Amino acid sequence: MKNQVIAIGLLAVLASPWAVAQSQIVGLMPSNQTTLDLYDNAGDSGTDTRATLADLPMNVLETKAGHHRVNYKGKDYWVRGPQVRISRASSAGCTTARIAPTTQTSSTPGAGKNGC
Amino acid sequence: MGAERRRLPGGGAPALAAAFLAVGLLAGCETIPQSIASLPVISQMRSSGPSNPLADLPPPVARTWPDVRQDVLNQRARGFGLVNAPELQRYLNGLLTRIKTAAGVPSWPGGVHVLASHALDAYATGAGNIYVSLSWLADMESEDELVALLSHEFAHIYLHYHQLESAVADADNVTSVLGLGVALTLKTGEAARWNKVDTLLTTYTLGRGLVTTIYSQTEESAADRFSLSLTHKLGYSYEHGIKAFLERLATWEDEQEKREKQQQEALLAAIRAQAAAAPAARPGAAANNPLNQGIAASGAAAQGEVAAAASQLSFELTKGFEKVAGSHPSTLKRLDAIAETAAAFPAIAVEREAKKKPLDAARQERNTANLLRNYALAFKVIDAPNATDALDTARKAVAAPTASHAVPLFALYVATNEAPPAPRTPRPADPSQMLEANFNAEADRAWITYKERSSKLKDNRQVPVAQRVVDQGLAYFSRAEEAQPYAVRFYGETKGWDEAKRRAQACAKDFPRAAARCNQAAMSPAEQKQQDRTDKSKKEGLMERFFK
Repeated sequence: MKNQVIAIGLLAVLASPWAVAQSQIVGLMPSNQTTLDLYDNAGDSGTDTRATLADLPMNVLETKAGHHRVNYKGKDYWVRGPQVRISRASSAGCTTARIAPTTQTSSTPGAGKNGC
Repeated sequence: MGAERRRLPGGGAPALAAAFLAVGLLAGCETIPQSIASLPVISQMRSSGPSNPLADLPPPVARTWPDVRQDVLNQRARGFGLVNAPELQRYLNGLLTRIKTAAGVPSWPGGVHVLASHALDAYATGAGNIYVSLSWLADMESEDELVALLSHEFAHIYLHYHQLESAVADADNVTSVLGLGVALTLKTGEAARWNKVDTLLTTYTLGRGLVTTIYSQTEESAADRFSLSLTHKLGYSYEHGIKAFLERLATWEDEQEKREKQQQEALLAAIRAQAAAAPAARPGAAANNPLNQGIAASGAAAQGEVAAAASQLSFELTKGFEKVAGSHPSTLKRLDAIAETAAAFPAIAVEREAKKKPLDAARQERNTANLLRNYALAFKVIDAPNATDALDTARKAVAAPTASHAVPLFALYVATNEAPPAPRTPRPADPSQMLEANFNAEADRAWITYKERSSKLKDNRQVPVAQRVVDQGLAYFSRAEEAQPYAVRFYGETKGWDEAKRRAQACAKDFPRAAARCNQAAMSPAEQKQQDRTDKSKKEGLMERFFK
């Protein structure tokens, strides 16, 4: 019984809302890419510096004109927005879905069905 | 987009093989309705690279529209219902009008409604309505992202994907006919064993599931392309629009998966700890085969490991199945698909500044801002009702303009239930009474408050009052199919199971989609027990077939 109480308490703690940290680059787009081009300035066309998947995640320091500023090995660079996948914060949770689960009998499944 | 060749979102041979298998299974069943078999699925699954999002939209398909108001009423009966947010809805409907106009169908029915849901959730119905959760509206960073979501949902309506619903409804009627076969078989000596009717039903259900799953996944990818096209036409950004919308969804799903994994690990640890604390088991009389004898002999700790392993296996299988059979392709695959389109058609991803001001202004409007704040407080309380400040927080959540909304009232209700007795404040005799504030506000009404209140009254042996609550609720929700199963069950428990069966028949006639749930709700405890026993025997029979 004591263990059950501990387990329920632990589950309640884990179910509490979480905070997502500042925006980060967490992947490349499309996901089969293995290197990320880094530019000295936003909008530059040529680059000779590339990061790899092993260098992710990278914190986004600034966003401007379709580019994100990041720090790579001590120096600031810019990456093109469409080439990276960004983590985006959310305050959502499964509180209401746990108490009142719904069936999908009368609508097209929506954009967030996989979540809860 | 409806006429073009669609790319299979699953991308691989296994998914295609599964589709062929499904169709093969369906074709093997003579009673399968043509409506599913003839859906445009298999012929359009060959990969042909990303389609041109800058091309004209396909012409809209003529259809008969279901009743918009009844559709809204039905959504009020689901979950925690809808959020009455007139100012926010005015803004959302303005965006939907622009989307409809850009698609060339400005007079189509339907509007945007706000779901009282903590999740990132959104869906469209065949009536033309779009439902978006409040959390999503609170989290979005720009109007670009919001319009991308609304356009995605509108795509389901425009491309007439709800025809799948009627096909499945036809198929379910066939299931009902087959159910009669099951009923007849139950009267024979084969009743408790796996029989031919079960095999037929299982084959049919699996086949239908696979076809509808693959069709739904195809829908989602087509809806993303439609959204990409419309948002571009409306002048919104790719980067801050559909890409941001899918990135937010992917982040949330990742976090949910991590949380589930943590919960599972905590559960496994608890199972192991419990087994370690238990005295070692002795080999019992039931250990009649080498496997059971081995497990019994290995003691409680080992049994704990076996239980933990079984739990882990079940978790992994469930997650694995969801990934393969979920109606949505993985969000990462959807992101890949739009990235490939953007690479092939760079004009679609041209740099555009995010439009943040209009969305911020809509959220900062006084009523909407108060409403967003109060719901955030309410979600926090429902998540942790025994926190020391839960009751105070819940009281703030039921301040104007949400004093009669279901979610804040529910937060106050659960916090009151959990609060320790205060010295000078007497605890309400029945905290569920506070939910009645929702009954009198038509714009805020949600079926869940009637369910909870009547259920508590029934448990407290105040059956006549409980019946009045349900009657009062049904006076408003009588045309909502989602309200029917609970009503059937409630009347079974309070007026007898003949009354429940009579109501279940009426439910099946008026709401065919809810028929199975109503029939299940009309089963008396004895019938439920009998069904459980029969199901158990069937499972054992199936195991024997596989393992002997």
